[in-house]
Amino acid sequence: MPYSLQLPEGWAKQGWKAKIFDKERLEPPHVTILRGTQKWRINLRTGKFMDRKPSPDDLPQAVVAAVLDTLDSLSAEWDKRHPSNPVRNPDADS
Amino acid sequence: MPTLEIFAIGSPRKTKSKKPGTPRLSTVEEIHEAARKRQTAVWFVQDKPGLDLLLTSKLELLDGQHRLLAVAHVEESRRLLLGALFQKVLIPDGGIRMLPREELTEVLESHDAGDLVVAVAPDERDQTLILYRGDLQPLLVPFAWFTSEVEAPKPAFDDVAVTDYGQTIRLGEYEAAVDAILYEFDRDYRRRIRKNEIRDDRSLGGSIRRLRIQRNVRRDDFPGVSDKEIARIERGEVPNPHPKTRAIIAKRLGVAVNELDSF
Repeated sequence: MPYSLQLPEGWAKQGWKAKIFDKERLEPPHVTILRGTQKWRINLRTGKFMDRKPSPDDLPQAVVAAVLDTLDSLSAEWDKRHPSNPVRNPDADS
Repeated sequence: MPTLEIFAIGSPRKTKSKKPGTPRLSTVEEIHEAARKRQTAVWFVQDKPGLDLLLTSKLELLDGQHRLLAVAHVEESRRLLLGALFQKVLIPDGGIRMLPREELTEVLESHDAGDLVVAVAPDERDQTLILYRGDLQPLLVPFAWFTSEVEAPKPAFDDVAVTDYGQTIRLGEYEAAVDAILYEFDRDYRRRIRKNEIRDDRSLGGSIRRLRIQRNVRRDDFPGVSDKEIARIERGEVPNPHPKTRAIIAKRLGVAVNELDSF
C-alpha cells in the first residue's frame, strides 16, 4: 500500500497529495507531491526539490512545510517499502 | 515534447484547467476544417451526440496521424469505420479502464500528455498490462515488473485503475508511479529525464560533476579518493562527504571548499 501523507485539510480538498509509491524509481529516496497532472519530488536525504520543472515556487508553502516537517516519518515509510535503498545510506561517508 | 492538438466533440464539461479550452467542434464544417488543418491530432469524442456528429459528417480518410479517444459507447458496427478513419482508436471496452472524464480532458490538454496515462487494460492470459498514454501510444508492461520489496500488498491485476490524472497505476491496494514505468520501458523518456536531471541537479554531487567536466578532470584523478567514491558522491549517494574528502576534491578542482556546492 502506498504511503499518503495527511496534508492540512484545506489543501487535501483542493487535490494536493503527497505519496510514497509501492513501485518507484529508487534513487534517490523521495516523496512525490501531486496535484492534477503535475508532480514535484523532494529528496528525502537532503530535503531539496529534485526537479526544476514544475517550479517549486508553484507549491503552496503550507504543503511544502507539511512535507518538510515530517521528513523523518516519511523516511521511515520509505524504508519500510524500499529496504534495499534506505534513506540513511549505511555506506555514507559522513 | 510538443503539445498535441486536441479536438473535442460533444458536450463541454467543467475542468480545473485554467488554460484556454480545447477547440470544440460542433458542426460538420468545423470537423472538416479541423481534418484539413492538422496532420497530427487527438479527436476526443465526449458523448454519443458527439460520436453521431463525427460519423455523420462523412469524413473522408484522414491523412497523417489522427487518433481517436471516445468515452461514449461505440456500437460494434461503427468500430470498423472508426478504425479505418483513424490511425489509433481507443474506446471504452470491457477490459479497458479509463481515467474519469474530467481528468481525461486535463491530461489531453497537458503539455506532457504523452508522459501521462489515460487508460489501462490487463491481459491476464499473456500476463501483460497495456497502458495507453495521453498521445494514445500504447506501452506494454509485464505483470512480473510490478514487484514489491515487502510482502504486502501484492498487485491485483483484476482491480486495475489509472488515477491521479494519469500519474498512478493502481492495482488493488498496490500503486506504481507512472514515471517509474516510463523510465523503465521507454528509452526516449529515460534519456530525456536523465538529461534534465543532470542539468537540474543542484546537489553537491551535481555541482562536483559539472565542475569536474568543466575542468576536464577524470574521476580517477583525485589523489587519496577513489574513482568509485567520486562517482558515489556525484550520484548523491554520499550527501555529506568527510571534510578531508571535500578538501581534496576542492583543491583538485581549484575552488574554495565552501564554494564546492555552488557550481
